[in-house]
Amino acid sequence: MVDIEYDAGDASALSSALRTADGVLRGQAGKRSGAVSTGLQDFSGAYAKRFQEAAVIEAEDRGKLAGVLADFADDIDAVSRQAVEERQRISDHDAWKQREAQRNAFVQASGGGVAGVAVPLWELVTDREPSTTPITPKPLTAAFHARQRPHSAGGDGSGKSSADPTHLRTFVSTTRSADSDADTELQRLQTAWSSFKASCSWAVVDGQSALSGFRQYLQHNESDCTWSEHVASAFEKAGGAGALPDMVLAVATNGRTPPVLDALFAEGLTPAEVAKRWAALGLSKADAPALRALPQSVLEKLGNLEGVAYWARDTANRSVLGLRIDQVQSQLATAQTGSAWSGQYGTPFQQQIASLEKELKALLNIEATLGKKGEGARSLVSLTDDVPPLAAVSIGDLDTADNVTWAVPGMNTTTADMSSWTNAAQNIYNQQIVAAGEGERAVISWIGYETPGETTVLGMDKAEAGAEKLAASVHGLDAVRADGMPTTNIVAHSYGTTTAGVALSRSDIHVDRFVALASAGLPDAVDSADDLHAGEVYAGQARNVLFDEGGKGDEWATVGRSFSHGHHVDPSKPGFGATTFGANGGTAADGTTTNPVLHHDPLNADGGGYLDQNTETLYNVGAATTGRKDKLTEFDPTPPTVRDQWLLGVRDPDGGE
Amino acid sequence: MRTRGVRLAGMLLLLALFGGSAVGCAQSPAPEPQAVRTPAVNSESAQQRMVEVVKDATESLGGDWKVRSGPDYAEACRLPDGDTGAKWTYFLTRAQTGDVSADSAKVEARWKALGMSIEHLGTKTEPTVIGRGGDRTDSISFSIAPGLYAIQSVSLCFPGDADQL
Repeated sequence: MVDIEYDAGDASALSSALRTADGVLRGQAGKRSGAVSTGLQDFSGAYAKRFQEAAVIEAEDRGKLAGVLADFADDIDAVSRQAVEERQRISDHDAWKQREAQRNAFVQASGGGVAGVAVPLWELVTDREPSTTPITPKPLTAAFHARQRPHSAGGDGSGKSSADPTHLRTFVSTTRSADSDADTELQRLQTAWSSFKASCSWAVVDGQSALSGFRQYLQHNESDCTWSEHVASAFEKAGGAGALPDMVLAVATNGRTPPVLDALFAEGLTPAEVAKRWAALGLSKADAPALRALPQSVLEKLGNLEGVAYWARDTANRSVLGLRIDQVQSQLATAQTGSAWSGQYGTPFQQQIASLEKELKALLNIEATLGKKGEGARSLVSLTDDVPPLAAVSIGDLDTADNVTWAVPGMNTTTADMSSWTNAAQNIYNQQIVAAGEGERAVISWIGYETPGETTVLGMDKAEAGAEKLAASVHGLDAVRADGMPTTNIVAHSYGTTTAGVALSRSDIHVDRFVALASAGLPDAVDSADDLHAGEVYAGQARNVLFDEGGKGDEWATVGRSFSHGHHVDPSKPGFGATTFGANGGTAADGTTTNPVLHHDPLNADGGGYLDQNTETLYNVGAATTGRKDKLTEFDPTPPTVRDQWLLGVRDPDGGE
Repeated sequence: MRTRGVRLAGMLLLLALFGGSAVGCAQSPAPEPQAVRTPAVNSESAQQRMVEVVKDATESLGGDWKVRSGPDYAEACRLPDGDTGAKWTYFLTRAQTGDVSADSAKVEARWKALGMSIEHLGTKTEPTVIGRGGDRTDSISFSIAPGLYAIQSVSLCFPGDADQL
């Protein structure tokens, strides 16, 4: 007997699995809607709307999918019934054919007698041939496509959203639990469907996308969970509940910067243009925690972008600093314990370790500097990815100060010395209070350029490259504080005066006061204070001695000026036109003398550097940078030591000092 | 001629030394040692001595003094034996001026009595008195600014690492 290929058992198993899945999905309605309600607690803004919209689509899709599965089950049952009918039809027809054959045989055997014909004739009427037309099974169709969920806030990203990360995490765990149950049903369905397809070829499948759609639906659910986790994580990084800018959430959830941030980071913008776009974001200091939720790559850009408010740069740079310390420590631990370590110095591997150690030393020193409790709050207003990084620590608030001073260091100053150079900046900051009373001021400990070493200090390259960076920093303040520009000062030491001299030669830069200490020489083109774009120019120079006479005066400034290529100008010379002030002690009206500066250093271990506390030069720097010219001590040039006079041919060796 | 030849030789020697030496414009924590002029102290006693001198000055001047930083703000210094040590700094202000001349004279007399040498800076109405030396502090100053009295003090150098304090 011919049969159709249709395993009723497999078909029944499939329809049963479909109905179970339908039931499971429908049964999850309460659980899932409860999770959504939890997630929506304290959730507001554009991201809350997206969450809600996604939840509506999920619920609609789930209902639709369940319906499709139930209908599919009904259709399979219907086909199963048809299969039974078809089998019956085939069976009936086969039976009829047998009877027909028997009848024909009987007629032939009766030889054509009436009695022999009557019975078959009668049966011919009553035993009609069953249908010869095979039953066409109802074509099986189960179409379902899960819809995409909206995860972008839309707009330009300038709005804000609030959420409680705990509630979102509850949503995620509940949803994942429900998805796991649903996935179990889907796997059963897929097994049942495979069996059905293998054993029920009689059934006509017109289109079945329900199972792939089911898979899609679960993937979208997982996508909702991941999205919610990213949102929760962003709020957690920002310190918990509260409002976060949508641009922060956009980066956190998409990994892509939203249009507003792309616009901020566009190439070729001036600091003023950046400041305008930054202001349009409408962020305030209260949003600082929110910025911490941004990824490191974005924070690295934000922290060094001139034109961005300094509170935001500080927030970004501090986050990056912490991340980099963790990363470098981890890399160092791996490198030091790695099998590649051979103990061979000078190998690329050893060089890598040395580089990591150098970077870590600087990063930790910057961290320690920020943690030091002095007068005035400290901010990390720049931190580059150089090794060691370039960085600037502001003492005082650059967003509000009405007097800002850049402290620009000389040679061999790196961020491994951040704490030390910042001590010098702190001394300036404190001295400004001592000189002019209370005020809203800021002093930037600016290690924002690669200072020269022994082999480059006599050239101009480091000064020219550094001047670009110093000018950018000044332009940044100009842009951020355009509505109320503070008084600006540059206090530079040694080669820092060379760098500042190049910067202040530019026509696009201006500061109110420039103080040159121990100048290693201003650029040759700057032969007059008038060549500098500074309202007032000051110079402080201790007695020049030769390099082996530290402790008797400034042992290096002359070397820098005399042997350089391109920076010979001494701003303390009378013809230059700077306001010079005392550095060599001198004698007060009452006959008391003041300790002289005894070294070229800004800070010296014996307290005799240019910016050491309770020195004449620090006193004068405080006065000069606060407009207290009346307090300056007089320039008191002291002749070279007797030995130097003799060596330089200006004095007889027996002449005494 | 002989003198010129010696001079030239001397200059050449210095230039040769210069060529082989490290030029140091950055702050140097430990240059060559100088003569011992301070007693040996540790971090506690150095701070205690500095605080005592400051307290003596502020109490003698009276009024409400506000600590701006310190007395535990540390910086590097050089110990008598030439090693790098640490020193405390202390910064206080009083938001009220008084009889400037009398007050300056008062602190000056007290510091002189402690064996300090005195230095004067500033103007008549806004003077600065610096006391240096003695066995209590490295230096201490009293300054007058508009609406403000200020005292800045640096302790004696003691063994320690300023970056770790």
